[in-house]
Amino acid sequence: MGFKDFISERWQIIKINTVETFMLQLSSIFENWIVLITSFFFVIINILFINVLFTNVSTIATYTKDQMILFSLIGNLSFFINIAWSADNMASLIYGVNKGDLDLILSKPLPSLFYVTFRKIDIFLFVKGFVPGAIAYIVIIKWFSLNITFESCLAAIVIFIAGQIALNFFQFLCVIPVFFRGSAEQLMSLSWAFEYNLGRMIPLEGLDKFFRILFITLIPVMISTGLTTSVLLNKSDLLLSILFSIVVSIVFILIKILLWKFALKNYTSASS
Amino acid sequence: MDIVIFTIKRFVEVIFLIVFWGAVSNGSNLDLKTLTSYFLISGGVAELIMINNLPVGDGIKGNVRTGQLSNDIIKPISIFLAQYAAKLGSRVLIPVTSIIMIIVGIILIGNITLFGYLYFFIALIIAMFLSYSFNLLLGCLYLITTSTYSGITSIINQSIKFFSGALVPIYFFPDGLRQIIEFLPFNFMIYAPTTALLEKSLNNVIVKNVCISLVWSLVLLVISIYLWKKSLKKYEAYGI
Repeated sequence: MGFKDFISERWQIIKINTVETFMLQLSSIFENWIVLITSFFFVIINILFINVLFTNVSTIATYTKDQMILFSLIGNLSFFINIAWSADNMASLIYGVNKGDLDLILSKPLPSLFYVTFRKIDIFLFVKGFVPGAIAYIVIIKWFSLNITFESCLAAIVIFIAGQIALNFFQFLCVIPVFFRGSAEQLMSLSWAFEYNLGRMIPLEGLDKFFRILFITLIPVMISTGLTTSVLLNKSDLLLSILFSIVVSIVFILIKILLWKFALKNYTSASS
Repeated sequence: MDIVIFTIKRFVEVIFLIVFWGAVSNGSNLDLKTLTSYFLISGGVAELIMINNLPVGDGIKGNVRTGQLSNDIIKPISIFLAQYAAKLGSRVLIPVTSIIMIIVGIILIGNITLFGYLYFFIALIIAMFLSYSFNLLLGCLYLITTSTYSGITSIINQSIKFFSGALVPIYFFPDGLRQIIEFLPFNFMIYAPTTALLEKSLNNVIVKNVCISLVWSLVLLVISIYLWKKSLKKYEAYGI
């Protein structure tokens, strides 16, 4: 298979899965409104939370109120992008292994790892979940008080993408035990606990050096949130952070491929 | 194994909350030791009374989705109590870790009077009734809407977390907002039992708080049981 076919095949998978997920999401009007309302409500609570904190302190881990709101916005972006392309697919993989759904995928002439990674791409969920809240964040933040440059913006985008790859790897790592012991739901929910309670709440500068390195390498939940915000605000070295994120994400992709091959070797089909 | 991971998860959540407050208190005049004991006790209380993520009410959602509820309805059992028992069984390690967290928090505070323990115990029982009602109300919502989207739990859970003092101690709130929150039922689920330990002797504020929380627990219990019965009648099962 040439490079062109390689790309074309994967593009087709992404395109078809995106459209299919979009059509599926459109069918549940009630659920769509609930997602919109709950997500917006969550943002309001978050902003209120930050406001309450800053009535008692002037900075949190060197972050001012506007910087914390920006961190919260990026945390929200990371959450919804991750939900839209990664978390649901990883949860589906657990189901697929247990119910024999994976057999069907493996029997098709498809790049299986790529397919299970991008099985659902829920752009609509991202739009209804993230956008209304993002507007509230954008209106509230006093942008002129933030030290954001064009370079830091570009660097933050690259690091954010690398962070999403890393987060997907971490979730994949939590799901892999399903091949060996039949369940991984609690591990998956543990990965959420890390992402939600650490990645979205504590700025990178709020941790000491050891934990900073831990949570952007072995448990990479802070790359797409803490590190991205830190770089965007010019609090971290741009080039070093970009280089680090790219290297980490490439290493994670390679490990993921190896783990997938290993898991499939040990995979005992659930169906007959 | 899953029970152990679940317990670790809850422990991790509380640890990160303390780390977060460590970052908040760093460079300010807030006392990290007091905050740590607060979040250890409040985290333990939240799990003991089963208000964190409303597991029982949320369990109804699962039963609606799988159709299990339709099977349960025809059995001569109380569906909600059965769900409560099932959740207790699946979280067997949680009460143990919750009690450990509370004990560590108490040790950190030190110098707690007998009255403090007694008031904590009373506040905890009232909190359990309130939590029961909130779980029941969430179950009603899932019965009425037959929705399986976790957002409903999430929105209620976030409100409870924020207004009950699970995320921020109520004394952090600005005066106006704090005075309103002090009258809401959320306050009596986590903040009241947690701070009860600090009380030394009976006073008017304690009497007032106990009275308000008793009224809330009674009113919410009656409303939630009434709505639960109504929603069971209105529940439309799908499937055969």
